[in-house]
Amino acid sequence: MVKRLRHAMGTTALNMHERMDGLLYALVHPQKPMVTTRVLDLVHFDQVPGGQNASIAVMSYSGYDIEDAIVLNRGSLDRGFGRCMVFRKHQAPIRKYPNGTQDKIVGKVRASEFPRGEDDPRWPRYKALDEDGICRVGARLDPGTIMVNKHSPASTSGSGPVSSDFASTPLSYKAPAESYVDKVVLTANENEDYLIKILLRQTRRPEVGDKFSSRHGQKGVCGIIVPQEDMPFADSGICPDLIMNPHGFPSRMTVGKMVELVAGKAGVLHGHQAYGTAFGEEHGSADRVHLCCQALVERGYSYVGKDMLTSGTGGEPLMNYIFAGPVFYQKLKHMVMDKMHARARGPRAVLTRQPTEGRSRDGGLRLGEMERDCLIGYGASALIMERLMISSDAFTANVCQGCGLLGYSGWCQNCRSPEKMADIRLPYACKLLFQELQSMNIVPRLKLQDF
Amino acid sequence: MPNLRAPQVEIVDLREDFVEFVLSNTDTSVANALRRVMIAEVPTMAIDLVTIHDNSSVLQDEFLSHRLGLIPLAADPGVQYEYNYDCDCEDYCDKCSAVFTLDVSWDKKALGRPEHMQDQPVHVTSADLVSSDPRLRAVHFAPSDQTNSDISQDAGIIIAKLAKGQRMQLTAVAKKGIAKEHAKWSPVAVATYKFEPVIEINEEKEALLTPEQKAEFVEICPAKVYGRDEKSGTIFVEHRDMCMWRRTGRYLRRRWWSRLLR
Repeated sequence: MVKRLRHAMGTTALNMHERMDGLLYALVHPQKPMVTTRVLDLVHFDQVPGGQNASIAVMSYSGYDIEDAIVLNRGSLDRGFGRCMVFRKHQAPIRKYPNGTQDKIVGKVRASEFPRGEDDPRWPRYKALDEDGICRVGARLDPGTIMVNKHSPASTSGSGPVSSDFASTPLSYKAPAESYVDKVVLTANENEDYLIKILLRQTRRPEVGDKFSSRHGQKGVCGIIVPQEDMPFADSGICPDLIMNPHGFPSRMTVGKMVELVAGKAGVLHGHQAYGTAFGEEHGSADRVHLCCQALVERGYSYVGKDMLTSGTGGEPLMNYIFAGPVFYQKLKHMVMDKMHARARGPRAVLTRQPTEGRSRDGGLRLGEMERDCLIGYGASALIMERLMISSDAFTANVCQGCGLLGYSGWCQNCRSPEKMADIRLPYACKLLFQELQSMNIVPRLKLQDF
Repeated sequence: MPNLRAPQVEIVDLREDFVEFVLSNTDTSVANALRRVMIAEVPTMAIDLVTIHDNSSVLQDEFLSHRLGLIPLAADPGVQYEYNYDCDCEDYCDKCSAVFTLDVSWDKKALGRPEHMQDQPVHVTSADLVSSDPRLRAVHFAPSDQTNSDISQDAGIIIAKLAKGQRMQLTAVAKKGIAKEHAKWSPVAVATYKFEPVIEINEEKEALLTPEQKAEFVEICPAKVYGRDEKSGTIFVEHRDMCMWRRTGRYLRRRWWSRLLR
């Protein structure tokens, strides 16, 4: 649970918006929890809240809720449930170089400087810049937009006559979605270089794949977002913000969540915050389950916390009573927008000529050993050839049929002759292996055959 | 089988912001269709486009725009707007939209306050939204005599709070839309229906009860569904609609007299 709490977003500090954090997640409308505890009171959690009271229903809905996935109500999202802001800091140092030169920032670039004016495809990159060559506070940054129009000297080392050439080295914005400039700070770093810090702000509403968690370690990603009118509803018209699958309960035995729900529901109906502290009975600071149940009955609800719900799609009453009520939910900072990744073509590693790895390097998605095993088992040899060589690091090598060693440009340096040379296609990594083996005095020889 | 083509509507209660009616002679699907249309497909006006000229409050621009969008707007009866996307105008015009302006600064608002309240934050509320169209305005939940008085804190829907020196100036364009696009266009807070419960009292069994037991039976129901005739002492169903099986029936069924219910 501590781990979940660390990943939850909310209020990090009371001065959070004065700070320049590298990465800051903030909830748009945080709430104090309906069910609190002694410890939460001691840390004044209601003043630095980290989640929202979601009205949940524990039931199965749509099949998009298997394996801990949750169903979200689109109406609730429209009204601000789980909406968050992401602040990200970018910085550009203005360096001084040993030869006395230094970076410079070139002032505002105007649309009229381009041949086709505002229609020029190069112009949008410079749109956000202000008079001083730094992006304007409040400007919208689309992917590729320049934040700091920095130019660096062409030669930065040595002495003697300094060339006056500068090359453009801008700080540009790279992300899948647009951001807005929140703050710009001009400061200096420890080397007394000028430093431009830019805080960017992004507002995100939850989407399929975002992760949520209650305070009982019951995490789940959003599997589907359902329109409000399709959600089941109670006689009073209340419909859940979130639907959770009941299979999350038996094996995990998170009784606390059920108690939170019942205590929270009783608290809502009677207009007070409930206490969920486990061992505070003699001090009277804990709400006991049977008292909460009594409170529910007083307001005409079932003592077990279940309600009669009606299907929002068909309109008929659901054939079971549904455990429903408020539970404090946190939005965790693992969001698909930060993780989504796909590639068709892209960069390759220098050494192996294979696609790079990882999202940050726009890497490829690896077809690993186990996947390869599957393809072998299935006998899809052409597909293996494609995945492992053609789409990866195919290389045309020159092989001498006489000595079996690699040559180049139709010449075998071993036999000192251009005869008997043949072209073969093989993975570059394979050619690399042969060469590395040769460097260790092991001679791999290739015997070629027609086929 | 009820006649699906001739449903009957009997209005029970009708107020400015509330309607309750009995729908009969039809199928549940019709009731549900009505509910779904009320929630998602009845067009209303809501703020959709916000231009922020000055915002030195602690709330970010997007945050503020979202809050403005959720403010319910009330139009005079019979006022019709075009959908913005159907309208002939280039951007927006009087036919398809209404423009609201808001300009609140702490300095101006706090000036007229009594001495001891000078340092307190100024509340920006929906009452500060000035409409270009007198037929459309932000709803006020507070009684009309309390609105626009600075002392009353419950006038209008609170949008933000301004501290000393802060200012908020913006233009907001309200457009027509339906809640399928965004829940801010939903005209209802709640739209729901319930089935009329059938409660029958087994008179034979009832006759076997003593008057004390009957009194206890009536008393024990937390939703007070049952009443008792003062003279004859018989039990009757008083508030039928208060009863949904789980709410009270289950509670009763645990006791021996549950057999009283058929």
